[in-house]
Amino acid sequence: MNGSAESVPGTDSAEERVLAVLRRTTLEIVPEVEPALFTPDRTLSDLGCNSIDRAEIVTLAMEELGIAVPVHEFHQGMDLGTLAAIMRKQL
Amino acid sequence: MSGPVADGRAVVVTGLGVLGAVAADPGDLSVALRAGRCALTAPAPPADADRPGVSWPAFTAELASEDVPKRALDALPGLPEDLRTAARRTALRAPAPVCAAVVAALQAWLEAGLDRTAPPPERIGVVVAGNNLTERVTEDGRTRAERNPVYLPARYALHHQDTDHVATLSRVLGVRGEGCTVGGASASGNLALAHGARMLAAGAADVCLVVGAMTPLSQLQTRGYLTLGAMAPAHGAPVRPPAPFDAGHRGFHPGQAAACMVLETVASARLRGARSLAGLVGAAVVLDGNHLADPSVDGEVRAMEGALAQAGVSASDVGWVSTHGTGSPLGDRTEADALRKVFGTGDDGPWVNATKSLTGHCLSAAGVVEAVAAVVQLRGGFVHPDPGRREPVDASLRFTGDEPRRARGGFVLSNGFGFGGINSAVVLAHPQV
Repeated sequence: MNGSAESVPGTDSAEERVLAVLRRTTLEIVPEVEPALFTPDRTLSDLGCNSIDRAEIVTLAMEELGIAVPVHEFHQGMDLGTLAAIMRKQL
Repeated sequence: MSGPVADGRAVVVTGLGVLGAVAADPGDLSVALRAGRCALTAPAPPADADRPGVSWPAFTAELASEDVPKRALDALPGLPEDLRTAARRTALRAPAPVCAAVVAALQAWLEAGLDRTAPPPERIGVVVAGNNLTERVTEDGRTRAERNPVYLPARYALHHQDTDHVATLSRVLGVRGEGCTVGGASASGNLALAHGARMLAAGAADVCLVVGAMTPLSQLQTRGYLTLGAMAPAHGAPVRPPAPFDAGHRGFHPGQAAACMVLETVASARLRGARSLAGLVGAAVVLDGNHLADPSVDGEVRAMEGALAQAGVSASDVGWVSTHGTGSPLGDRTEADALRKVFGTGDDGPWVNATKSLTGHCLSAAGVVEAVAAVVQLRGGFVHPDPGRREPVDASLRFTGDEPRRARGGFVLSNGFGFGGINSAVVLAHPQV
């Protein structure tokens, strides 16, 4: 997976919405992230986010989407596409 | 602070910073003080203003918007690239008051030339003035967590600590010496100055940044001050805010500002070739043995006389007094009585003004804001006016009115009194005295 958030094989519109929310919250929490680097194959760590940034981004995204994913479903090193897919299931 | 003897560990001020409703930096503060530019305005009534029992402040001096500190950080002139990167990376994630503290500290850091030449980071300390600084963080967090606990912002456990200020400042500036918050309610600013000066006098550091933390009040804190009658309520308010010590005073008006004063030993300043802006020559803190909001003449007199004694300065050497002066009728009357006891009632007594007439009451930060304002006035050779004082509560004290005054002598005494009988005073000196 190396396409943009708008055209990733195997993603549906709901998952694209999740990715868009993740992208927006990432840029809100970590303003220095280069927006073009936000692609489903990258991890938040790849973008320079530390563990607290990552928790903040996921929390904010869940709030915006109105979902609650159990904390144990998240794992370190998940790429953004996988993260979006897990959140998508709760929609 | 070792009296009049200018030994190497005597304490001088080498940098100033301020960001708040009253001014965007120390130069702007100088203009505001000289002109008597008042930052207080009447806030819009809350949505439920018609509900019986609802009350809100008569006047406030608040930042124009939440993002003022972030925009000020981006616009800060002369910031070296590495500092700008560290500051953006850290402070843009921080709550607005912490970001404001970073901006004020960076202003002072640059003025002191610490970006060019500084002692080792292990010899630099930071003291943040204030306690209960984060109720707003908690109030916002609770609102979000009430929908679902999972929505509590992930940084809550970090951001709700008062020491988030200390940690963030140390990260941005690379400070690795001693650091802490110092709490003393509305006397916090002077307490932090006293603590910082002692850190230097004891040899624990060569430079200490003393930072007054901006205090955006939570709804509960605002209501609490209104309930006690300490804060002036909107109901029955006059069109313009009465100044402290005016017969129309009816409580304090909350203000928002962060401020920073770089304290440094004379030896360190000399070694770096840093300019001394003023001397911090005396500080005293005394308790009343009282846990209420009930000020005492005795405690205030002891604080003022203690600071003067430590400075080796007599009351007649003091050119003006920067009062605690909040506009609380009981507080103003008590301080006026204490001033008469210390300075007498002669025509040649010191000028008396109240910076809160322009800034609002900056609470935890007030003492640092007012010390920064005092150094600005000492250097500018003026005592700022207090517009809004039509009828002084005490005719025997020399209050400033609508015009700035010229102070004689090179010493200013700055008072700070807190709930629970915490009395403090500091003495600042012009560098040429």
